[in-house]
Amino acid sequence: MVQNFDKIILFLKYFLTISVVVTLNFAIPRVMPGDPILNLFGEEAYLYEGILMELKREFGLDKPLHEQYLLYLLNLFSCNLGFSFSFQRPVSEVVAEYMLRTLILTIPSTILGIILGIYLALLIVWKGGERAMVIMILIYSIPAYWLGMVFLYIFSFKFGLFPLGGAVNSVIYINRLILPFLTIVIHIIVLNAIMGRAILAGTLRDSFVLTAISKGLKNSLILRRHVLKPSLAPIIALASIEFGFAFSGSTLVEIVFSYPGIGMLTWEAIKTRDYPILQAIFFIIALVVIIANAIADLISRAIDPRLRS
Amino acid sequence: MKKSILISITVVCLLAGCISPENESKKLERMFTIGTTMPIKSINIFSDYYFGILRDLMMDRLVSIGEGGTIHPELAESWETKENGKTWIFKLRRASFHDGKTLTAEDVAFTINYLREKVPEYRSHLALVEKAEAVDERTVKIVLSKPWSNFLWNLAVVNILPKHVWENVEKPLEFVDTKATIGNGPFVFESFDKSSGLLVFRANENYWKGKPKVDKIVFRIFTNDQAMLMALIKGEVDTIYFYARGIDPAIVSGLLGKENLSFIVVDNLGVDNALWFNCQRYPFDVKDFRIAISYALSYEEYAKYIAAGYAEVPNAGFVPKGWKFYKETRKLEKNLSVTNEILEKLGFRDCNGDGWRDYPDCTAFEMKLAYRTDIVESSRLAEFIKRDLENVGLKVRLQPLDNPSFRQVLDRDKTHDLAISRTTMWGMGMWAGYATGYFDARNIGWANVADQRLLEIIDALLNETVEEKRRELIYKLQDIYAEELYAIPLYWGKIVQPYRSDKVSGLVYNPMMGIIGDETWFKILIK
Repeated sequence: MVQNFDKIILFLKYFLTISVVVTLNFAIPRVMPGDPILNLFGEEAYLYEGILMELKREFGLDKPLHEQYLLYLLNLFSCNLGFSFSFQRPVSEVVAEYMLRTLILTIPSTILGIILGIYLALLIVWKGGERAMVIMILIYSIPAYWLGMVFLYIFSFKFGLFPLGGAVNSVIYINRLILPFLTIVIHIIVLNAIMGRAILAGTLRDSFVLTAISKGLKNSLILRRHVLKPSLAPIIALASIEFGFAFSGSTLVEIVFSYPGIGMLTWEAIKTRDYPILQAIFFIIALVVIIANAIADLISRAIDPRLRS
Repeated sequence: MKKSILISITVVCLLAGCISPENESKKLERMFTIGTTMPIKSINIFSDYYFGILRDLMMDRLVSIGEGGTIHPELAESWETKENGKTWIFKLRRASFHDGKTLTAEDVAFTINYLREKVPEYRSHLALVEKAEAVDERTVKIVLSKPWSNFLWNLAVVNILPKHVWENVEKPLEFVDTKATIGNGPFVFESFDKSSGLLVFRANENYWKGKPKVDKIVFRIFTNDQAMLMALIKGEVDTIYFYARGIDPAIVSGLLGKENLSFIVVDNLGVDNALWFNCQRYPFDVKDFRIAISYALSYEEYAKYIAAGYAEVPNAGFVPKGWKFYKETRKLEKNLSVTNEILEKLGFRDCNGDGWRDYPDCTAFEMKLAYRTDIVESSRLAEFIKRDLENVGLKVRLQPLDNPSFRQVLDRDKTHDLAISRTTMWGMGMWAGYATGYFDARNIGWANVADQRLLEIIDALLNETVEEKRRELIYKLQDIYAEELYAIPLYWGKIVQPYRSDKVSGLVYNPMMGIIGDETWFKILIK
């Protein structure tokens, strides 16, 4: 009975979160000043009032806000993300196209970044590496886009190893992924090393670790079983947030490398006030973060008996 | 360890072929590579504004715009007007579409009727068109609801569509099939790869002017100017392009002296930056107040620091030199004593001793200065203007706006006090021409002018087709701009177009389309 009540509370918590997210997704783009219809045409375009009204009607922007909101909810329930003003295509098609490009870049970099970052954190914690930590903090303080510009300057401009933007032909598409991949992965490694060190250092101070050391267990065994395993819950929570960010893309890195991913799409949609695109992107990102969080909760409970109690 | 990392990177690069394979293909064909930051998203010329900018490559127009804003025959080899400009008859050249079908008067008539019915933007451009009809295979007649002297200017943005492709397309803005790119123009659309940021066109061998002197144009799409400029310096692109704009003059000095980099420098027929008053708001509706402000501005500094010297101090008549009916009006100048004297006379003085001028009734006065954040020079200018106006005690609040907000405020709501924005060359020719579209409250009307004196001239100009009389009206128009100062040009700039002289020569700058105008395709030399 108590367990069922807990589940209901948990469900309500997630339902409420999604409801708030959906409402904010609808409201925020509309609060921004600027007319999406005017922006569909060039800066020299003059549209008579009648034409503007007709277009607003076509896109459903002439309806009162509460009706637009209801329509948005109904569409969402039927998995219809709407129709993009600026692309003149269904939003689901556009978002899928850009999302795929982002995920090609961010999923491998996130996985690699988390693994290497945590490994590095373990090394620092175990072997002591204050100097390494200073370097990590220094690197982390460099904004990713700036690091990207430095890479672009050195590897593309100076050494000509990669194109400066846009692949020269689509067969070598992979080579334009390398620099943004490196930029993102370095940031994720450093973030995980810094956060991981803080988490692991806390565990290292626990008495059961001291017991394991005094029992004369092998270092690798102590690290794996007595340091890493009890620290996994917060690490997984951290990873779930990072996977959420993986879906949102890295707008500035994408802009630096002229890479048309979801970050760039978000930026373009803001510039053109393409409400349906913005709503869809924010909704998907929020949903991914919530789901990733829920999965992280489940995994943490499964692997850490302290959380179950 | 270091060595193995270096070797790995090199191997990956070689496998990926990232050491410029473009040079290989360039040897085989005359390829012209252009870098652009225009955010092209699709291949629909109507719904993707920036792809639409490139439509002249694929589709010809009846007429085009050349030096000084003059109209040149294009697909129409000749034309005549009847009924005092109400009826226009065009004689067409022989031309064929990329798919081999002959372009006829039916296609032209279809295009005009189709656009005014189905494409919102053209419903404004072609608002006065009553009907278009084919008289015979090579003659088309367009009837207007009333005389419209500037009709040809609007026709210069109407690209002829093949009727057989578009006649069954109900929603032109959603049509993204490659057939949507078929025209009769000098280039045939080949491919658009958004992932790779590549847009490719191939020369049309059957173009009526002959085959262009370049086999292939490749647009490489960048999202940041710095990367694009690096690509230019490195020779990855032959030149760069953005509609109605060269490079930011402030960065020219950093490029001067770079090996193999040359520049085309031409007068801009648009006004790079102007200060627009909302002439239906107090005190901007007071001519003397506008004049007072005009004497507070540091035009020479703007030309020197904002345009890096690639500009000159403008005249009060707004319309830049180089326009066909340009008239010399007084040069704008800074004279703070004139400003102070006028402001005092108008009653704008500091009532409470806080250092700022107040309204004549002593309530606090502050002006909002709106500017576009997407135009870097405008942002810099806003700071200069704020400083200049505050020097004479006028309090200014900066109002940075992105493009959609700017358009909302200036085009629709008209809630601005002052605004900085540019005019494009084509924009200068809109409505009755000579920037009238930007002034007249009945059109875009950034200056929101409802002054009958101006509107009468504009109406007369819209109706007048006799060149001599038009010239007189245009002179009057510039006189009234100079006298009333509904907007103040801040400088008349030049367009600086960089290109790789080791890779290409013979580029010609068209005043409307820049280096991608028709003139380039028959003079260009790929080295």
